[in-house]
Amino acid sequence: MDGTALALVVLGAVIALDQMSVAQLQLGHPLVAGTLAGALAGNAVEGALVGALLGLILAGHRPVGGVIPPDGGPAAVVAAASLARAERASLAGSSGEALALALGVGLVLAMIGQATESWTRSRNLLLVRRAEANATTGAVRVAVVAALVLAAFRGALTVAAALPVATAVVGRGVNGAGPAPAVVLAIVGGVGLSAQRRLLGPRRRLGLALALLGAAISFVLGSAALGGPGGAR
Amino acid sequence: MTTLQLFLRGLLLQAGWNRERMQALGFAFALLPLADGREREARAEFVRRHLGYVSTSPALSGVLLGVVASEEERLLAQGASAEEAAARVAAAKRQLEGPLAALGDRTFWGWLRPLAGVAGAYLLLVQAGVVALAGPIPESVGHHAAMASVLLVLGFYNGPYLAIRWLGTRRGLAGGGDAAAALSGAGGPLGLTRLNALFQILGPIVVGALAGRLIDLARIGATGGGAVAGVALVVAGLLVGAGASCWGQPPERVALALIAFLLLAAGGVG
Repeated sequence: MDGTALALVVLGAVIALDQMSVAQLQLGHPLVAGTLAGALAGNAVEGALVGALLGLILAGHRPVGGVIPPDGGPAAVVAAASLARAERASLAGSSGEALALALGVGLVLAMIGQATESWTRSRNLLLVRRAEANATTGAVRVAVVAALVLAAFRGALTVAAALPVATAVVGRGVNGAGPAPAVVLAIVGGVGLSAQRRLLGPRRRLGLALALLGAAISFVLGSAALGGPGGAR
Repeated sequence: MTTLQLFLRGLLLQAGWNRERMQALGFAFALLPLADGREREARAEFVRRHLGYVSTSPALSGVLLGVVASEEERLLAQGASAEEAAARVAAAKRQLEGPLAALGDRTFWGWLRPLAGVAGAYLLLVQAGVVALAGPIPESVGHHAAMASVLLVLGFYNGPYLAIRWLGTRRGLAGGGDAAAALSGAGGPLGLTRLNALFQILGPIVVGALAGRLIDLARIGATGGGAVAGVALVVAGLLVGAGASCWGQPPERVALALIAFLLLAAGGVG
């Protein structure tokens, strides 16, 4: 395992910890995790693009009550790093096929991670019961440390096991003739945006009017920045 | 117990999360300093009563932890029996955990987190997206754009999140174990009511802005298809996603199916 892969495994552990067990400071948000992994693997923007799309698609899931959402953080690390590594290895530029494959890998891994996270959490119950049986402050501290180690190990193992496979899969699409990156961004981004319906708020008509206002401003500003509609492209 | 001590220990609230006891292990861990100095049997009782079921919003957990910590200190000072302590702590938890969970989860998981993600994606595509689709990205531009998006997500979420977590802990501790007062203070004085109202304006504008940006990108990258192709692609994605959610299909499955379709339509992989 090379130095970059080792750094990615450590990142996976840190992100798995933050995502569920410690503080929840959103280091495990796919956009954040993907960008950091992409930067480590040599291309922060590719990582950020994959992470942003994964983040949009998975944003409809909330870890409330007894719900364990898809494992977006470690999945984004693997997807982003595999895209950046595959493109670096081939010295090719961004390809829509590679982007689509990286996204697919990320989504599948997020669903697998949901199951492994569920298993980890069931182990936590055993730790709680053991602490309760001992009923000492030391037993509670030991249980907390054990739970944190388990969570970190799960994140590290996810990245270590999935990264070689994901890099090989995504590498097959680097020089492919698939859809343009913009097409993947637009259509998958549209699906991701549809998961944000809640952000339109309880007053749907007002929400839609404000969304149209936002779209118009964004479109006009975007065109102006590029030298007029359809501009300097 | 100090606010800083309880705030920092409370950050591990979710450490031992499980479906049967939920946040019990982290909750007991946060309050452990209060067990020190008690008799051995009293310590054991303390640990047992805090390893029972508890589930609330992590963002507002400081209020619950503060109220219970304050109540524990009061009970110790009064020399209350283990049974009385267990009953009063359980009552405080029952009274607070549900309403705090409803308020905190809606604000932070329902609004703030997705909004931060959409705003981060928008900033990324404004700065780097057009360049990425038109040709090779100058390394410095792309790197700075990606890092700025990360900072936006982290700052946008963690500013209110950490501030309210801290203020909630302080308010809970200062209330002297009064659960009703702590609960009534969570909406107004902690600013959650105003924050929710602000999100109801910001949310749609940011979602619309990202849709506009995606359309703008697609009309450049859709191999000369122009604005109509851009609008069509984004609207197709929106309709497929919205339609599938009406049939109870989660977005990740829909996205996977679309990606498989795009790859197959392009002639397969490899």
